[in-house]
Amino acid sequence: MQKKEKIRVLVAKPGLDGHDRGAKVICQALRDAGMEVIYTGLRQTPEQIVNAVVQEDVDALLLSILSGAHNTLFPRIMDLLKEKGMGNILVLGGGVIPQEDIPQLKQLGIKEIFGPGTKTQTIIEYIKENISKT
Amino acid sequence: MELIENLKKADPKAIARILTIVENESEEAKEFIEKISPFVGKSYVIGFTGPLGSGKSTLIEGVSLKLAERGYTIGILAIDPSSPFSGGAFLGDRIRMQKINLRDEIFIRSISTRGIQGGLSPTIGNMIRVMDAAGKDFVIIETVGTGQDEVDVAKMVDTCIIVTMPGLGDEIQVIKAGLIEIGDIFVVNKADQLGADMMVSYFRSVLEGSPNRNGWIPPVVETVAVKEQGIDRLVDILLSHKEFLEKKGLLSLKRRQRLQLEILNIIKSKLIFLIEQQLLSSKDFEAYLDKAISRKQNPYQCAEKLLSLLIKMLLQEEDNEGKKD
Repeated sequence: MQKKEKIRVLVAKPGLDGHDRGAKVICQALRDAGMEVIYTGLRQTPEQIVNAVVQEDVDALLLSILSGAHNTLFPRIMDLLKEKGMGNILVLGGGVIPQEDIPQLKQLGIKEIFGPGTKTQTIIEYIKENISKT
Repeated sequence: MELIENLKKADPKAIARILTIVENESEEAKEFIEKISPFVGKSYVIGFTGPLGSGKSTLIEGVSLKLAERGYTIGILAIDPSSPFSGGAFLGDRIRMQKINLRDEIFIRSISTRGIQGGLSPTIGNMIRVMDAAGKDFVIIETVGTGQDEVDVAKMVDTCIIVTMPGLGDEIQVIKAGLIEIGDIFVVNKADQLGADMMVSYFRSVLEGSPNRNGWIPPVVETVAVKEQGIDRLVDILLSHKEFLEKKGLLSLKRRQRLQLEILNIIKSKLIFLIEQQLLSSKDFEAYLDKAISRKQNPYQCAEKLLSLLIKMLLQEEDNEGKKD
């Protein structure tokens, strides 16, 4: 048989913000880069997101947030990921996140935070370089 | 193998991991399929197909929820198309399945067609097998949005549900061959929209005159999936079709069809692989192409010669496999 591995990515919108133009742009860019992108839709709880991560067996989780609730929601997501045995996947954040919050988010295990204006190519390359294919 | 033990306990992480392995068709995949094959054959498989935007995902959400409430477990395989250019895919079926995302009885997996046409994924048979081994009572397959003649799904499933909606044309569209011939149940979704009654009567009139299906007359059901209207009735009809197949002893026939299609597809994909990877790049192909261009031979003669060459390649391949074993 021939090997047909694909990078699988979940793009999620945690919490109560209703804007996903950015998340959709990311989805399209990753699709065009040959990845399989699963989008959760808006207003997801950490439980819903982590459940989708488990079922979809993704290599990376991309969290997009514009509401300012990242300091509450991101830690909960990271805890749940570890609890479900998915602590080893690549987690990235994006959206509107103040500089001063970034160090503590990285301490939780979120590898990188991509703010407004980031080139999609930067994100694509980052994912390709940093996922752990087992 | 620990993964397989966990799969049999329906552990979500094990199901997900093994689905990935079989989807990637790695060497490992063969091993897994061999190991789980003895436990399969219990799941009842349902297919939802129909045009894009007709509401398949939302209907599946509703039907799964009702089945879960009646005490069943469900595995959903939701297929979306891959890009013919990048090979990537945007898989958005989960967005319409928010109400069932956290139900323990329901497992949802999004799948890309990975370049294969016909509305299904090339490894769908094995993915059904994984859900089956995990003890799911029902496996629900959602095809990509289909048009007129993507009919393979009917051979993969026990009950085939065709989803349509008002405004997609008139009786002429319904009479055309294709989807009308493969449905066991027809759903006119978005039935609160103008033209739903007409759509239902088009279907009823065409189905009345369609060939005998062992005594089953495909019912036409009206639903409004987003308002959860008509879903209970659809589930009742679905279960009555299952009972019908069981009573008439037709289930084994369905399973035979499914395996036939699966085996054929595996052969086809191997042949295509061989044609693309070896025949197309061989010197012989170029040589015959030159003969065709200089009109020394016509395309049929060239094809015949190349076909015998392909058969030789196949035998060679088989020989190598034999040595490996």
